[in-house]
Amino acid sequence: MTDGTPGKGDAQIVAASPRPMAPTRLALLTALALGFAALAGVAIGTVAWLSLPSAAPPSSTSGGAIWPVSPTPEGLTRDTALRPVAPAPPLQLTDQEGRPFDLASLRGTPVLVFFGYTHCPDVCPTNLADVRDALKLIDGDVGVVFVTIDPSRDDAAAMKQYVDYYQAGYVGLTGTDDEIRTTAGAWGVSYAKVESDSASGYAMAHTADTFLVDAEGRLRHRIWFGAGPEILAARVNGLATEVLATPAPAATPPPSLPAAASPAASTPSAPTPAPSSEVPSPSPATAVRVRLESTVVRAGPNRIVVTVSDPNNRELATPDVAATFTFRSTDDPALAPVEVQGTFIWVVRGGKAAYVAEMTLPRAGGYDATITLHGPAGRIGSVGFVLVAREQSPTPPIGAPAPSVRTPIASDVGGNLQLISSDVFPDPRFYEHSVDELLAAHRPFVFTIYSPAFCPTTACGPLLRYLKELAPEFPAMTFVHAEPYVMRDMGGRIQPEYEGNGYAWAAWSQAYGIPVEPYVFVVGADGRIVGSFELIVGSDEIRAAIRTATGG
Amino acid sequence: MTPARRLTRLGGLLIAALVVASVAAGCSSGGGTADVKVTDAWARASSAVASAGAAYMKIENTGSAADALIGASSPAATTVEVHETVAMGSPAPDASGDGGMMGMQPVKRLEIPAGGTVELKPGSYHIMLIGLKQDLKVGDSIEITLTFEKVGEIKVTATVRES
Repeated sequence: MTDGTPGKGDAQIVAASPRPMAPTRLALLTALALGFAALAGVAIGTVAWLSLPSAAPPSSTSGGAIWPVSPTPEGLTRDTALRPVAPAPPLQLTDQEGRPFDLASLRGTPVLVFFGYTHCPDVCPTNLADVRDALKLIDGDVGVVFVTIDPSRDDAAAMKQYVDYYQAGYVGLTGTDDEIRTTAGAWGVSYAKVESDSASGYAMAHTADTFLVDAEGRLRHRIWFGAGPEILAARVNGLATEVLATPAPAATPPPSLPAAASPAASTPSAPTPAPSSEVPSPSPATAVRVRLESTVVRAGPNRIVVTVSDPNNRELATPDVAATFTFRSTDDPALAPVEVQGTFIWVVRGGKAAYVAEMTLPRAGGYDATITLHGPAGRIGSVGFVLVAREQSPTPPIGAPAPSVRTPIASDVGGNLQLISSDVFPDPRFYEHSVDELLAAHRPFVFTIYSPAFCPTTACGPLLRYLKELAPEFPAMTFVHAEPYVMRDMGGRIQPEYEGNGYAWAAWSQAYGIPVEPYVFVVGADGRIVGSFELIVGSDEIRAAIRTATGG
Repeated sequence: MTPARRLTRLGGLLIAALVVASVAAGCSSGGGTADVKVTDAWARASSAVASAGAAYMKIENTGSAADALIGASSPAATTVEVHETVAMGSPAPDASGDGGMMGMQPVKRLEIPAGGTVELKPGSYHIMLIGLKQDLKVGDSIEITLTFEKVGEIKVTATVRES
């Protein structure tokens, strides 16, 4: 993610025939197109226009006949569903602010994804207008992601100006030629540079279909260009009620799994891709589903994070919804239940949100937990889940000494931060001091282990950006960022080394025992851990821990 | 009176002025005259950043000879061309990919058949405004001069709207 502005003139032809096509091939394609159109009852756009032979429909070359790409009456029943239902292909590129973006960060809302380019005057604005009109017909939030297939001209700045124009919170993604090629390939998107004598320079031919990803991150529909807002909206609104031909491959490990993970987690070799368990509501009357995001639950002081949604996967966590947690020991029912009010936090400001429960569990073992949600209009619902507290946790508990470990700093790499950070805009102040130096100097610090570019969990988000924004508030605090993995220099860009089925944990990740990333540790001047935040953390939580660490 | 109607009237006046020329040209294609009307002209609201905008309209030829749109210009853009969006690549959209590829190509000569109407619309023919000199804001209008083979120039005013 280090070179988001590739040189000009190196656009690629991807998965598409070189143009111009030979007339015979055109004729063949046209015949195929018309045959398909007849079979499927589909309007095929203006393919026929391309065809010069007389086999083409009447007066197609004269421009007198137009085959519309616009919606057809049968459009609403046209099958756009993708089967079998499978997770959406990877979509990890650079957003219009120059930040790493992962489609997983939009988990919890359906997302419309389409590919195009900013110099595109007709197709892309038509798609954007259709999507905008569709959103008016859809209940609930929908993410909109526009991916350029013309990275030579569309750098992050161009994407920003383009999507900002729509003022609708759209995400505009770009990347290197390689990244775009890989991403497009994974999504089954073709594109090709088409040279012409137009004053506009080259044009890009590209797959203009719109992809619909459901709230659980599964690719559900591929909707043809020109389908129109009604069909787009119908597909989004139909997600919840649609019968899936194949059962969803949802990760449903036993609820106790995260907390009861094998002791190997304390000497991690690979991150768990999906550290959360999903527990359906035990009662059909309740409409709340909970997802335990935390992987570490221990006897003693705990901080656990959950996300909640309704059965349609709409997020229920909002700033005006209160969450109350109750934990009852199943090993010793005589113990008084622990009740605690959850704290609302944003995972992505204005987007994904979660609740944090901070409580002390009296003993190791199983707990029946309940979350009850109350909104402004009263009780929303309740859901139970089970968790298992371990005797010990792989990460150092609050109050324990922070492990002294050498972390990479700018001077190790001659100031080239891109060799030690996958952050697109690394803040030099985060790479000035190593953890061992700070401990030796008795200076408090915030230690973040996170890979903006390679974070594999659903909790990945703009964490590092938030920390960079927050850092200036605390001049007495030193901020340290380290990639969680052993990184390899791939010609100026770093990539994690593999080990087993995952990335190889770096020495500092192992020293801190983290089973997943991101992790943020706040350490006091006495070298003891004051705050330990797994996966999801609110800015206010960090602020509070920093105040404790600095005695403020 | 809607802007579009005003345009039609304006177009009609221009046509009247050019009718002699068009008759002469009309002879070569078997006699008759072309009579071209442009209605419902609109341009899509667009940021100048997008560098290229698009305008759409209906072009009707009520005459007895075919005509053709062969050029365009506008004070709102550096260059104006007629383009067409076309489906390209494998025609069968399917999950394996390669389907649904749309491309664009310049159209040097867009024939308006005698008695026929050609609609310039999203996903099809469009007037491409290359090198926008300003944002196209909803409610604005821009002038576009269309050049036809026979009837010559027709000036249209396209109102800017979202879709």
